[in-house]
Amino acid sequence: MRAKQLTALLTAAAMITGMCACGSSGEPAGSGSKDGGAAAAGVETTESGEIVKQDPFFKYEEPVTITTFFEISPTLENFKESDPDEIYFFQQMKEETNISLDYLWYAAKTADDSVQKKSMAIASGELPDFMLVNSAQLGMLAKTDLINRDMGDIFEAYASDDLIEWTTCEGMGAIKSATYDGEMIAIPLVSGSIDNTPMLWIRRDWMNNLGLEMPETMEELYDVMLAFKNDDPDGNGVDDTTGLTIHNDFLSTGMSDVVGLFNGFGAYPGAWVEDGNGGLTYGSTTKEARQALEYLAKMYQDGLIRVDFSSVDGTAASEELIGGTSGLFYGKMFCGGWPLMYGAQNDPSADWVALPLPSATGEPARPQTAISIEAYAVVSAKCEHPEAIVRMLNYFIEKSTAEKEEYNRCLVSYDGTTTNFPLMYIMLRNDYALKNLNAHYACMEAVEKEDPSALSGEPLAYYEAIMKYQDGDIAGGYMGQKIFGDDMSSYTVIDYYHQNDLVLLDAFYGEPTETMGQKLTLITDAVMEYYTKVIMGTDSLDRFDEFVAECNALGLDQITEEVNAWYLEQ
Amino acid sequence: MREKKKKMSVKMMMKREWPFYVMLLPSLILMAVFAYLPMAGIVMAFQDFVPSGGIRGFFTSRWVGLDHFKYIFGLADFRTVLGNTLIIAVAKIIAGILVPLVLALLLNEIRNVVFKKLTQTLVYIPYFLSWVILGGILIDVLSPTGGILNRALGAFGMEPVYFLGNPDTIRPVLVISDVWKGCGYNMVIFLAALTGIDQSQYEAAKVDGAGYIQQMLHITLPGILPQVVLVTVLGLGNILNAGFDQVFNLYSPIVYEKADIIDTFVYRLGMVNLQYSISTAVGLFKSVISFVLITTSFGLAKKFANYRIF
Repeated sequence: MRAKQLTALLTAAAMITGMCACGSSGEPAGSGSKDGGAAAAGVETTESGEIVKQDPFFKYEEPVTITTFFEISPTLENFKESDPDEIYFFQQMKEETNISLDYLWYAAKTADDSVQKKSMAIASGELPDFMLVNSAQLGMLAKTDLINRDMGDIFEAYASDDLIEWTTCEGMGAIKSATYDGEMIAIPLVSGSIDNTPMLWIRRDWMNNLGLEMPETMEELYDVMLAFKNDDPDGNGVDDTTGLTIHNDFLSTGMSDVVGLFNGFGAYPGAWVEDGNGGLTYGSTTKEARQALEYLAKMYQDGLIRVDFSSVDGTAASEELIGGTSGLFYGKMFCGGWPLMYGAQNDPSADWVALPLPSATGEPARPQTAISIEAYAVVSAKCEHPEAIVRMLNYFIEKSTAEKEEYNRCLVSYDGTTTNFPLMYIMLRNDYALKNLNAHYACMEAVEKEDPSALSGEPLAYYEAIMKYQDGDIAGGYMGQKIFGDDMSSYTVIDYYHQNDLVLLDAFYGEPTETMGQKLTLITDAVMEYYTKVIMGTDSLDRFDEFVAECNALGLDQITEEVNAWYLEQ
Repeated sequence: MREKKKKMSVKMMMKREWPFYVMLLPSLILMAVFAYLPMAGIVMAFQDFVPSGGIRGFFTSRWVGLDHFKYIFGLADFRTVLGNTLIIAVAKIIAGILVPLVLALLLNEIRNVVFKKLTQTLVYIPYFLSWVILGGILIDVLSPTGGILNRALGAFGMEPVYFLGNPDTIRPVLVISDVWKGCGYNMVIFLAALTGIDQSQYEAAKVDGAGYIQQMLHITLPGILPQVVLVTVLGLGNILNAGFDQVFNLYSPIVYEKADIIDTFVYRLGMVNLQYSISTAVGLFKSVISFVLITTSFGLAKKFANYRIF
């Protein structure tokens, strides 16, 4: 009997434990560098306290091993754990810097796998020497003593001019977002924010079938959607087409969202924008957002959006674009590759082109985006060579700007038929903000001169793809043509944004304010719920002011105050 | 004198049975390491937990008392979410016992072994599929634009119904699909219990002139009652687990008011800010409720069905 009671107790106990099993210490993962090199540790200062610049391209005298983890990107098919070591880039890094990497764990690059493993590492306090984290994880780490807080000084002392230029070419926002309580606690790994602007993708062959003009205003866009829905644009005699493809998470930009549509009305959901009185306001609750919602609700009523869009996820939406039942969606520049390239494999006549955002205001629409930080590199407090992380970034940028042959060997090689991306094996990397736009310019110049001899690396691969497309291999060259080509491609649109200075950056890029950390998810949640209901007609736009009041009650008021206090300091 | 005798008997018992205790030891150690030690993590529910290297975080984090619980219960949506969780979970528990029970009784009457086994296997199969897969299938099947179910309804001249996007239909969809997926499991338990009933009882009943229905009411049902009670008691422990995987794959903002459950709500809350403390607080809350319910139902089972699980 006693044994039975014990089992009962244990069973009950096991249930209690279920949810709280995290937090206690796991086995110690290897931490700290394994062997030391004496050169270049610490930061020297002059008598006046200024930091002495060190040689950014120094080499350790003794081999240094830095521990980290490996995130397996979905593009790496058949990945083996030995693969990264066989990359020339890392062999050469060992040669030039005496640094080698030791991966403590490997994880697929998904929210479930990689993000969770990192959160576990943080919770257990056993960080590798350096790790890439997202802003939420950085916020948590900022409160701990697990990470090196002198990265600002180390960065200043060791960063090469190129690294500083790449990190700050879009302003100090990236650095500021990694600065907590006045200390830079991580190195922001940036890419081009301009690459993340929304644009409108449209099927030109359908437009030609129906004899329509490319839309420039939201009214014209509405007529195009009506025609796409009702006038059988694909000419197959079946009523199987839709007006605009959107999915259930429609405020997350990328593919088939509606952020670009909101921008057409001068509304910037989720972003902090200037309110015209010198302050900042939250873009999801403005009167312009209301107009955009009204437009979307009307679209839903007229059957221009799938009746069950709230059950359509990103994958299902991409299938609609590939499957030839949709000819319109808002998306970013990469859509010319994924998913549209796969549509061209099914049907080469699917001639998608990119357009600048149509506008309802009479002024050109301003595409919204945020300072683009791919990740933050945090360095463990136990790491003996924090400067090695900066050294590796210097090395990466050195190779990124290297001459054709060395660049190809290290990062992107093209052997005439296939493009290889050793780049995908490199975790610690960043992008020059205008890299892709410059690649587009270089391609355009080469196409015009019919001479690719000035090209190398990525631009050359794109050029070859454009040539392929123009020689009739539509599917093979689709991605190059639609993203980097000269004919209404992603970068002709981005070039237009760039030339006309239209890009609108989220004005808030600081450390999340206190209330923001606690309550912003409640507000974004409420926004998604209300927006979805309004579009589907189960809630009314007349309640918009009430909805704004609800958001304020949830804490938006207070967050706005804190954001404005931050803004005043800038 | 008597006491001495008793002590002797324990000693003798140990002498006789010590190998069994040694055999039990590994599982006790495992249980202690994996179930009891981690329970220390409960303190996070009462702290503003900031990790600082293993268990050190428990000592360095700030104590906040019941702040996290106040925060959770203070959220305007929490009552809706708690209500949804209870309604969906209770419906699932009830349907999840009745349907397999009826299925088991029906199957038990079938004499064709091939048909019986085949049916049993087919009913059991969905149990092994994950909700990620089934979610995708259900979204397709229930789609108002060309889903198989709506086409069937259309054949009868009905307007297409957006089952997953309508607050009135989402709960039935959740309960029915859950029962469809899971009923094979309980059905097998009940079928196993049915084979354990002494066949001579049926023979005796037939001699006394009892029909199928009477046999079922007076022999079959009482015969498997302990298993039904067991399944119910274990089910009650899940009263606050309305099925994260399922709901997460099938719901959308349009039906939050009827389908958002504690687990999905906390998931969305915790997404942005690694909120260790809040999720621990919610976990503790759920565990305490489950513990109380299991203990109560255990007592009730003993009192009314005179049945002990342990």
